[in-house]
Amino acid sequence: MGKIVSEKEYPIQKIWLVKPLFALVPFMLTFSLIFLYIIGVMFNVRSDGTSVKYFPFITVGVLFFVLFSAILRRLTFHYLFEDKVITLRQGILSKQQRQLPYGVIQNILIRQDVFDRLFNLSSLSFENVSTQILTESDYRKVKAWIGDLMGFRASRVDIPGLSKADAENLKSLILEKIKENPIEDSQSGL
Amino acid sequence: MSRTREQFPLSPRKITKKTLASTVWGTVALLILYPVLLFYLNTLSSVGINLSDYFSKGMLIIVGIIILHIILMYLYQTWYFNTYFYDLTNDYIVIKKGVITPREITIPYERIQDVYVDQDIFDRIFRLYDVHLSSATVSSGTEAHIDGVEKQAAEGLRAALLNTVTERISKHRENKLSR
Repeated sequence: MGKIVSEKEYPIQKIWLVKPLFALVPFMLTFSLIFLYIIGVMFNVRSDGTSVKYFPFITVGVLFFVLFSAILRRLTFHYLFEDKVITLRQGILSKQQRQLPYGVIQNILIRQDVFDRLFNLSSLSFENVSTQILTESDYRKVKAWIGDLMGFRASRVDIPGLSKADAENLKSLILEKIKENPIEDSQSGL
Repeated sequence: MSRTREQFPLSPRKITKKTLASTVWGTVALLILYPVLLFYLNTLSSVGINLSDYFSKGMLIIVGIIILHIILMYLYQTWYFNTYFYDLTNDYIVIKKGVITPREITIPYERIQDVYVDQDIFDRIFRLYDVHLSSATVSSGTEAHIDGVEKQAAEGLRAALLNTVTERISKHRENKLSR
């Protein structure tokens, strides 16, 4: 089967771009006082607290920046499921490329968090075995900063924001390919 | 309900176990902290507060909170129990759990590196077991487990998995040798 499947068929839905904003809001609310203080110091606040009026502008600025970088990251993240390998490309300024033969995939995860359930999205992840190992808490920290995991990082590839049906279909496709492409040497896997 | 779950079912005692495990520490903490706090405040203040009055009213509220917590946790665990899904298909095992944030992990049999069974302290009280599988990744160890099965189901699952995995290895070796 020479079918090549790209992100055109299984796209990251546009609504997912809003997710990093949702992640940022509680973060900002929690740290708003510290934030205010820092801004005050930056803008040389006078005792009458005039610098506070800049706060909404700065907040909106940060939110726009987050949305903008999410859009850029989505535009530059490409995934291609070819016959024997998966080709992934990512990177806004510095470009990275990775090719994974189907045989190295260890497991496939489909997850939904609260935002995903609201908008009927799913996040598909698959892992290989590589020397750089990040633990679940490392991934959670990254997720907290950027709103959601997307792209390849250490031993894991995450494709968030897929529609539920797309995620299931893509998972079936990958499982089929894994079956068709067993690992030749017995050193890896079993 | 999948065939695998019918064959190797989760025990309903799991609901009780999970409710207990999630609420016991909070309950104990509240029941101890409140009187201690009152006592401490009493010794601090110069005017003696009406200790017994605060105590009885406060404890009533605390007990109310504890009971509410237990009830809500029980309902949540029942919901969780009902939506817990695991299936051994021809090529892979799939485990899906979670109510608020559902998570599903699929591991092809060829990637299963180890299978083990354990019990935590609450499991021992209810005679339940936890079946863990992992592939070569760190996160599969934490995600892929079926917990809350009774001994028979645990032994059955472990045997079935090891059986399938060894079958796959020998089939793979056969394929390689025949080339």
